[in-house]
Amino acid sequence: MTEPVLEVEHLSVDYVVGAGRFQALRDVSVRVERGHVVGIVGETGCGKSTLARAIPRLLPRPPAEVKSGRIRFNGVDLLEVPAWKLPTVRGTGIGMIFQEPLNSLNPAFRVSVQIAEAIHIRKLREAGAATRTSSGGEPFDYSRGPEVSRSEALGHPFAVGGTAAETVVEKQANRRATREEVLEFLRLVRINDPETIVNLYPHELSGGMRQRVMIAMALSARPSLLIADEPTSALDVTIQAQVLTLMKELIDEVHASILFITHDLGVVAEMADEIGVMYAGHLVEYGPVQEIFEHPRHPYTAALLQANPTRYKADGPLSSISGSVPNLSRLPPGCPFHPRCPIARPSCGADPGPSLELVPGATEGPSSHRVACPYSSEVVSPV
Amino acid sequence: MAGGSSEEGPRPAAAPVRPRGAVWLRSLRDGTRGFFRILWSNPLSFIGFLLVVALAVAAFLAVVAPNLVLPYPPNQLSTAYKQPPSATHWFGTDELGRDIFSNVLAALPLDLAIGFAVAGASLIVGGALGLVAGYWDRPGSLGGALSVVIMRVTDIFLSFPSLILALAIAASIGRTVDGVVLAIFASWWPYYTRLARGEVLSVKHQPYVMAARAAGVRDRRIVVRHVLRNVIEPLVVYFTMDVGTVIVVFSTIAFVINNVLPYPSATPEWGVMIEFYENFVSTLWWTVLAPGGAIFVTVLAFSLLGDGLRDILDPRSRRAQAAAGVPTHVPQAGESS
Amino acid sequence: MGRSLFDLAIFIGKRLLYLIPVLFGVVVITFFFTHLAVSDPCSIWFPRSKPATLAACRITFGLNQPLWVQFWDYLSNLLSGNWGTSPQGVPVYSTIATALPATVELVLASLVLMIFIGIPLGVVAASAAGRWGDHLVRIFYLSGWATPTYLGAIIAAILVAPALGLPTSGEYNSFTPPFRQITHMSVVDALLAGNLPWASDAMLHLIMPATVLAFINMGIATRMTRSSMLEVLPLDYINSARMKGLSEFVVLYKHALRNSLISTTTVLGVTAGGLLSGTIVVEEVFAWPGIGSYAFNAITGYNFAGVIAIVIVFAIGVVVGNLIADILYGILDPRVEWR
Repeated sequence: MTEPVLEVEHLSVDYVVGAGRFQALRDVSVRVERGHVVGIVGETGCGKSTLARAIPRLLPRPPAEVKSGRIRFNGVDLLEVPAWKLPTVRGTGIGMIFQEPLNSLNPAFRVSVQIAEAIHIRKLREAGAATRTSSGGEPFDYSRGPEVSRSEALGHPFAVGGTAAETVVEKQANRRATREEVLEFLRLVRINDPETIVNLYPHELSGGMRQRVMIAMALSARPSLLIADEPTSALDVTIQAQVLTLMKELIDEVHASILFITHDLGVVAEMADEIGVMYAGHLVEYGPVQEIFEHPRHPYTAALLQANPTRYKADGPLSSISGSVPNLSRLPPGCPFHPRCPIARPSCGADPGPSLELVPGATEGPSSHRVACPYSSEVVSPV
Repeated sequence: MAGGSSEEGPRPAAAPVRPRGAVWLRSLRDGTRGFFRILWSNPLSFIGFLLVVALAVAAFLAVVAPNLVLPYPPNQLSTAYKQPPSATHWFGTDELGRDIFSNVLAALPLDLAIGFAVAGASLIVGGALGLVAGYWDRPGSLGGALSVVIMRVTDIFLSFPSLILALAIAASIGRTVDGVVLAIFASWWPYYTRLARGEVLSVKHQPYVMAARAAGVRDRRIVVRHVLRNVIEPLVVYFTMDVGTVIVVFSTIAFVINNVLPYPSATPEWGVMIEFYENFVSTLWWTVLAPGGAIFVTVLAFSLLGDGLRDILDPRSRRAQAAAGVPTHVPQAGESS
Repeated sequence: MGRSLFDLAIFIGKRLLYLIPVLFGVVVITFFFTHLAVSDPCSIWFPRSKPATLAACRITFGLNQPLWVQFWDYLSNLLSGNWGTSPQGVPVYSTIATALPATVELVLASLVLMIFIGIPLGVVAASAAGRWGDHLVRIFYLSGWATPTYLGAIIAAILVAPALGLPTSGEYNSFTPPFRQITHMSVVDALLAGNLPWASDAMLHLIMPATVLAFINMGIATRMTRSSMLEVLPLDYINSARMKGLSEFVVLYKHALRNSLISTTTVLGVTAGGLLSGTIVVEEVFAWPGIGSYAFNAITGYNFAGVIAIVIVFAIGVVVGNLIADILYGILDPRVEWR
């Protein structure tokens, strides 16, 4: 087994707002193997977007406060990286696709400018790779297949600006080459008329088109890990399907390692290799996608599957989970789900709450089925 | 921004119903509490608030008990000519031996009164015109015609710097304190009209106003009960900052137009003092710096207070703070999924 | 409606048409305020004169006519290019024609200072929102706001300028430069004459008044930049710029500021008003031969023809400032269509 691309260990994040303290993430551990797609599922406010933003350290501070944990990306602990070096980490290996295609492209610049920027930075890194960094991000070079290499992810403190020695001719040639590459990436995301699209401003594109451009931009940096934070939630249903199809095809083409954040169980079922289920900042269940869908071991996962209207229920009343998501500033003691849990017993409300344990009968392994519930054998699988 | 605690607003859970006290008293108390919570969230506006209170107390004492706070009677001549600041004369003396500190302090009530009078009158007159122009603006009606007239006039007033108009009017209608105050007011109210109208237009189509209309509530009652209440907040913030601005403008006019107040014989005023002592500035610098510093501190106090309030009440920056400070996906108490 | 140059031309044309009723209103307001308040300016202009002299004065300035006739005469003269004369008989139009360029030069110089100091300060304040950097910037721009213009000018002229060895009076060291003043902008004229020593002298003379004017009005640019930066910074395209590996400097000053500037330009009109009224005192203190010191003298000297003309010029200045702001807005924001 090779080293995973991403290993989040026991990550806890708080939001400190005035006198209030919200526990956004509690002791979350996630592991993304090379070429795997890991889905993170949960309701709004369960902390999955916080997780997505915590990894490339995009959380604003204040109010976010990382309390403990480690985020190992290609062997480097991102939490140890000084702030001024962060651009090099982000530029050398992590790409991100955001939820709102309306807001994730800069309205003031043309598509070509925005993608070229990412390509330019990658080229700078590649140019300096011989001296400062070992190369990173090969997994996305689909022409070479799923070649895997270790990335230092660090180095090259100044990720911006060209070399002064460039002649005018070289510059023009470079610009042409960059433009060709921009077009190539737009074709990669199945944009039919890239020559027209590159010259447009984001507001002149449809939502689905914008999200394709966003994906092209993230891929153009050839990241070794792609974080997709609800990439389809803001789109119309038909467009959603198109973008999902595209992403599925791309996963096969570029052998991506992806952390896929969503509230839609159907989406992860189709795309992910492993999924993690989050509730109130806790990771309550983690394991291979098929096992979790067929034999959920956490009562919350089971309830979530039950409540999913399209996939598991053709008729009859829609089921819902009784009670409501707890206030993150006043989490109940013990297991966060126990006030709403059908199989809860008094001991569930006592600290410390359950931690993620191997499901009985599962074999030990980095991505084997784990659950944070001592009474998991009582959980009835839906269907 | 540390505006966090104010973001949450009144929590339904934290409002235990207490039957005691009249309704207005309770809402006053809640309002005061909210006011202070807002101030606390921004240290600079709190400093501004403390300064404003201190200035008000000093002005009150200077009027009520001048002998208590003024070390020397204002404009009293003495043989201590041209003294630099010292323990006996805090801000020094001028070429006739007058104590500058006493004169600066004695001028405080007049300057504050000028600021409040002009800004207050503009708030009332301009605000009322804006309210009318914003609410009754249906084309074709009498109100619509009135609204058009009001806004055209306002546009014209706003199309050039108010200072030049105030100067022109002050120069012509009389070079007295009253004349200058009137002149500033004449060029000042349109800002409130535009502000009030804009706010009314944004409030007017809110569901609660529509609902009141649909329920048959009379326009006058809607304006007073629903519209005014939501419009008054930005107007008052603007007013707070304006008190200081008016003082600066008054003193500027006093500086340009000589002899607004015969100094030294009458009540001192800061702008008049600066104008009078301007020729001594290279030798008796304190005579200019003291009244100038007084204007500076007064305006800064009101600006800090108003700027902080505006930051917090301005929906644009409030939204920005919420987005920067409070993560949107943190569920609030009582929110169900 | 679109973004072609033709649309822009129509947009500008419409806005200039809109200027006509505004200017008419401006003339009405100032004319009647000044003429109603002072019924007999001749006795103020020429005190202790013989009654015959005063009567002659009244006839010269048409003051013996009814007010509306005076207004009509003034208006038709104005349209035919005769802007009236000062009480001493100096034509207003030619005075303004030479004074206006000097003021434009001063205002542009302080605008440059406001842009290159005020806007970066706003960025600093926004990126340090709620912390010390933010508070310091706020104290700085509110200090400018709280300083009466004349006080700032006097302190700058008497205390600051000598310490820095900067000149504080006029446009050049000598009142008569050895070249023709074509544009009446001191630096431009010296450069046109190819006279570099005089050009640098002119620039030194420009520093103090421009700095005072910029300091007083700094808050407008800084405050607006700060609050629009605060609106832009939490948006995801800032994060996606960060994710590309761009340095924080590029993220702030290219991606965020570019979008914040869109709203900052809209306050340019306000800035024009603030800067123009600031010139009245600043030019007087620094003996700058511009329209501001002309306004100062016109007001103190009851030169009503001058006052009305200055108000007209200021109104045009504010409207043009707003127009330029709107055009910049459209250039900066690709979503805007001219209409």
